[in-house]
Amino acid sequence: MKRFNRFVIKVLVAGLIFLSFIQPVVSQTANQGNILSIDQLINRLEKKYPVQFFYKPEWFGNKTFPASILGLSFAETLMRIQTTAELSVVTIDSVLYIFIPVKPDIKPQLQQESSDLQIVGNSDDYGKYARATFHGKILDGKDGKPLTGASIFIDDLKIGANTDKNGDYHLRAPVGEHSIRLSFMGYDDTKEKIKLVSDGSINFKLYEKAIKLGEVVIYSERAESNVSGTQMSIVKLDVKAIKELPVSIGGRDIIKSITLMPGVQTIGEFGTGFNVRGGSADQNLILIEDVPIFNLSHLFGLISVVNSDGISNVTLLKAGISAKYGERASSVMDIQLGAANPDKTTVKGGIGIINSSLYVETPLINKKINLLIGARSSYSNWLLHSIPDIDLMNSSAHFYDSDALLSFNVNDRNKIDLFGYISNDRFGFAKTTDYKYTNLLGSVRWKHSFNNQFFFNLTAGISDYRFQVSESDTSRLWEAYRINSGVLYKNTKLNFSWLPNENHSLDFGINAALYDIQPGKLTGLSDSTIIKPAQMLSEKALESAIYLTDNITISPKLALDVGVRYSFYTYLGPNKIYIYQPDIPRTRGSVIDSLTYGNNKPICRYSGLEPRLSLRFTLSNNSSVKLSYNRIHQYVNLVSNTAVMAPTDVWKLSSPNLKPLTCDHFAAGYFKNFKNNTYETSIEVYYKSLTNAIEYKNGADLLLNPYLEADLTNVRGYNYGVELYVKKNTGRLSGWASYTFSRSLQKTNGIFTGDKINDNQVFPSNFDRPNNLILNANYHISKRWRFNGTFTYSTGRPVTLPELKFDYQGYQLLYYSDRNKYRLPDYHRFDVSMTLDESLKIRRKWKGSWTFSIINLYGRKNAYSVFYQKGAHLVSNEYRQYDTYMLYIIGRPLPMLTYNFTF
Amino acid sequence: MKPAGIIFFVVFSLVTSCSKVYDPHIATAEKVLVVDGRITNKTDAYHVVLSYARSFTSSEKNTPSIGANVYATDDLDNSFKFNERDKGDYVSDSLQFTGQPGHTYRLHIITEDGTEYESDPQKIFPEVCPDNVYAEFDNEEVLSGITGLKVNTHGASIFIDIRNQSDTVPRFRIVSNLVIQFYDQDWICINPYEGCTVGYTFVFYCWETVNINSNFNLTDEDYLLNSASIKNHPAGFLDDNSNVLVHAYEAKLNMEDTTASAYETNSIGFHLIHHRLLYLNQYTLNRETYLYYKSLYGQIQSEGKIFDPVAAQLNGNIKCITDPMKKAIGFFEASSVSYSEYVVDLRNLVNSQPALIKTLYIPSPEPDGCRIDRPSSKTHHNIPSFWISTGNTSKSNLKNDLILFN
Repeated sequence: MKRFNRFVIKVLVAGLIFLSFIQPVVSQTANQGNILSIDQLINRLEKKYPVQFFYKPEWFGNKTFPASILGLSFAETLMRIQTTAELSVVTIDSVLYIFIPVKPDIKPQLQQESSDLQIVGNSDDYGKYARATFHGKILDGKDGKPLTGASIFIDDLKIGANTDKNGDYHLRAPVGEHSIRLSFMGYDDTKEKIKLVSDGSINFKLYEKAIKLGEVVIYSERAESNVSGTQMSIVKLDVKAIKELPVSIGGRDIIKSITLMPGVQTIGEFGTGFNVRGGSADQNLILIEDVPIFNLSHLFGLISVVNSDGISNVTLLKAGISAKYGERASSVMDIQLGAANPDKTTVKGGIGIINSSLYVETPLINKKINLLIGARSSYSNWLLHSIPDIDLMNSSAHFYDSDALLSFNVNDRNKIDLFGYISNDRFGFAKTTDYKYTNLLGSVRWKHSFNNQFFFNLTAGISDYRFQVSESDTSRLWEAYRINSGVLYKNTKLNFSWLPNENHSLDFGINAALYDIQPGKLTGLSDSTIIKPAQMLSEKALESAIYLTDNITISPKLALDVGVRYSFYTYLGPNKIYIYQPDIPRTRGSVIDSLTYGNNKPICRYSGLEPRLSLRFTLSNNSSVKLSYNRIHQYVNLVSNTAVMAPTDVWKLSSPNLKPLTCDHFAAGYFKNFKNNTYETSIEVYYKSLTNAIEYKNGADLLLNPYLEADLTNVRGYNYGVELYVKKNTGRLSGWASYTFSRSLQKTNGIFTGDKINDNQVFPSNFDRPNNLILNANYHISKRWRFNGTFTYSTGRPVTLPELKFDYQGYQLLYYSDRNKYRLPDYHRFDVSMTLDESLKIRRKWKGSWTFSIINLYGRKNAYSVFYQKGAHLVSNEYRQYDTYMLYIIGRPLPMLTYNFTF
Repeated sequence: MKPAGIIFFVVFSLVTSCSKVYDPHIATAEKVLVVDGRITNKTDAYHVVLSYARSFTSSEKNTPSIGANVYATDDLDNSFKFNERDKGDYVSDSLQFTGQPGHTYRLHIITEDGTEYESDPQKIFPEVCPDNVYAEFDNEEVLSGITGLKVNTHGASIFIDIRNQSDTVPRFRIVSNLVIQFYDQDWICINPYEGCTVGYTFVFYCWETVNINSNFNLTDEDYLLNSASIKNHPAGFLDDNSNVLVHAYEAKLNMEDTTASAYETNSIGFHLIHHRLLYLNQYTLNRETYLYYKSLYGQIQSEGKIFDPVAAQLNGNIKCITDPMKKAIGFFEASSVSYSEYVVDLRNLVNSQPALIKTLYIPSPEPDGCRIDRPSSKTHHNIPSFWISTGNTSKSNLKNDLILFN
């Protein structure tokens, strides 16, 4: 621990030196920072508040804003921007704010203006007071119901207020005549004239308007950010983008949709997780509210465990990963929950033919607290039981998940978030074999702002993943057994953010994660069991990291995101470490000794520096070049020798006999937008080197194997590729097309035969699919009807197939090809969906939409895997016949119907 | 069916994964030699079977590799020839060649087309005998000889204990064969042209051999770590049925000396089991052999299904000398072996468990067979040498020699 403290001190000192080094730059730019361009102002606002703005810079011309505007409240700042730039703003769910240029024909100012001057207060008091408070309600002009969250402004004074849940407002202003502007989303803006005499009350009415969906363009992120941002290889989805995602089995699925992005692939419909630039699924850090989740799949991969309801944004980083993140080598997916409209109660739901969901978000205690709670459940289990087939009646296929976020706005400077998540899957057939797995996540986060420029997040989280497989044949209870395994992960993160000026944005902090892995416990299930109980020794390790990263704008053309992370890992007892004879192949038989360690005793340590760099060089207003490099050490691996998640999959920590994985990732890209950001294009190339990746040896035994490391071998990974991407953002027709050429290759360097795969020749990994083409189109047929079509093509994934058969000692055996020598047939699929919105009136309480989709429209039988099968069981093993079979998951057009509603 | 059930059926019949026969277009132009050879420390004729692997999709049987020159060499530069006795079956001379524990052997093959192969050197480890062999009543799923389906069967499991006797690292493979003895009888007339009034009752001494091991029964390596003995290693399971369903045998009479030989017929029937003989072969393997068998076992257990381990190559110890890039499949094994034989008695129990009575090891000449004995003839005592006669059930009833029909 002393060494650790010393190290922390050293790094902090180094950080201070670094800061002092860059201080001249900070000071210099601070002088220029009193005046902000619209880009700088929006950047600061988006960092300060959980909102996003959409606009075209040319609408603002050369208008600038004083930095002091940031000291105003959000509403005041917004109003100041509008008045300065003469733009209107439309908000969606109080999260997205869209600036709209003022046009003479659709000038969104005042469609109703009353010429009647209304007196507020007692006329007799005229002249008695300098200021007075007036209050009242803002009501729906149609039904008289109070409007929550409506705004009242006095533009000349630049003051305003919002109505509370009862539609009440309070505003204090100088006495005299004022022009009052009233606004509320979905209602026509209205202007009233009042004469404020003394304290008094006055009610106002607003009238609903029909929103013109076809004329409002929504960007999932600011249109030019793909060019102007430092970050490359990023996929970002916000609330609006999630709603526009292609429909998958079970509805809109964030994880499945992410796999439609360039550089992201999956091994098929049953693929658990996804593969980023040739990395295995365990190389992705999937964070939900800062807590990693260890199994992403419902129903073995048909549906992901992430329910899109309640998600405010999702970010996937494929390269140039910030120093804030570590632990996994290939990518980071950060999923954040948040209320779409924190000021009102919203209920959303969806009813599908496989699962249904319900989601509620509501403010509590005068909006001090926001509560989000969502749940999803499948009904395959009771449906199975209702079918008059004895095997199906005894089978089960069921999942559910639920998440909740409670945000407590303690005051302007402090906010506390409590997050909880649970998912459960159960799949069994005929009551003999039963698979069950559960993800349990929880976190507490404290956000504190020292001022507008310096704040921190302190998070403590837990992720508990449990897997259970049991086999119980009622006629042979004495052989019934259950195997339990799991991962318990606890972490603490402290992240400081400092925004000294608009050219610097620093993040620094410390992370610590404690792993406790239970590789497997075997127990018998009956009193008369003959199963010998066995329990693998659990594994424990502490992974810590300290980091510093700075996003620096050196000049309008050049911006950098430079950072460094130092991770240190300690493998802890209690455990027994086997020592293998060095000059022979490592097998359980080559163990020559073992060492036993007590609880929490350090067994071995690994550490390493992880430099990170992202660079953006702007070529023009709409084009840029970006470069990035990152190194990440990964200390935990999912060891699998099957194509899908299987009971034999084992999470394994780096140990004295298993070195950590190191990933070096280089990427470069050219980004250019056309026609005022209507079209985004990019080309990215990358090279990723993986050292000490893990592959299983031929004939490896992964389940309940205390010598698992002896059945594994290290490989070098070489992943490279080029990704082309074109996206159309606006118009009735939008969508994207991407083509990726990539390779994911591996090579062993074993000395002994058993350590060699394909005789140490380079071979493709399981995720090597060189050609990948995605075409996605959204077409708004009318205001209420929209169509989505997604075509996917990719090269078939590599497989190992039997080439020959031969006889040996009376058995007919197979001779397999080199590993991954063959490929499955190419994969292609076309999914379509049609969505009908029941009503476009925003103020209508109940809003529903029907989505009819057909997955795999032309019924392509895409091979998921190829397997061989022996002929019927004979008493003798001799001369069984073999046949190869192709397994496909969705072999014909699959119609789906989903009804989504919100109120 | 309830409406919900119908919905589910429609939906899940669409979603549920399916499979179809698939031709993956595997290129298999190469002619690959398969070697199946073993020598032991026992004086015996060792076999090396050479064949060529066939395409995965082929329905043909193996093509034997004929006309090859096969010999083994040891670490003392001795050479031992294997002669082709049958097509592709090369056999050593038992009088000239017996494997010696502690010595290393290498197999050499020159095929008819001149391609030369050789094995990695293989060392024979010292022979290790089981310390204790015993049986316990048990239940197990076994394939029914009648239905071909797995049925839950009552019987006995065989276990062995082996004490670790050396500083080396022994690994064992257990081959357990159960020889089921049963009697039959037949009456054959010796004057068929005279109305068939005179004949003999012939006694049939028949047996059937069943491998009661699981595929490639290997001991675990765990015990090696602490030099402890192997305890309770399962060596096989046998049922406790009173009868055995086997092919019937008939007698073919030699009219000159009124002896008869048995030949198998197509009809099958139940026969009362007379004795169960357990033949236990315990092979002491070197590391390479053990790992090879382990990979064979893994492959037999896997069928490449969705949760099965991804298939893996079998790395043998045969290399092509003339063309190092040319593949060769198979293994040349050099192991010591300990033979032992037991009578399994499921009726006369010891400590409420089946009794295993060790007897003289006399292997049966063939896996299945039948000998015919006519006690009064000059070929009397044509009883198989391995036959266990004691403790029989109704044998005495079968010894009526000559039956005259009037």
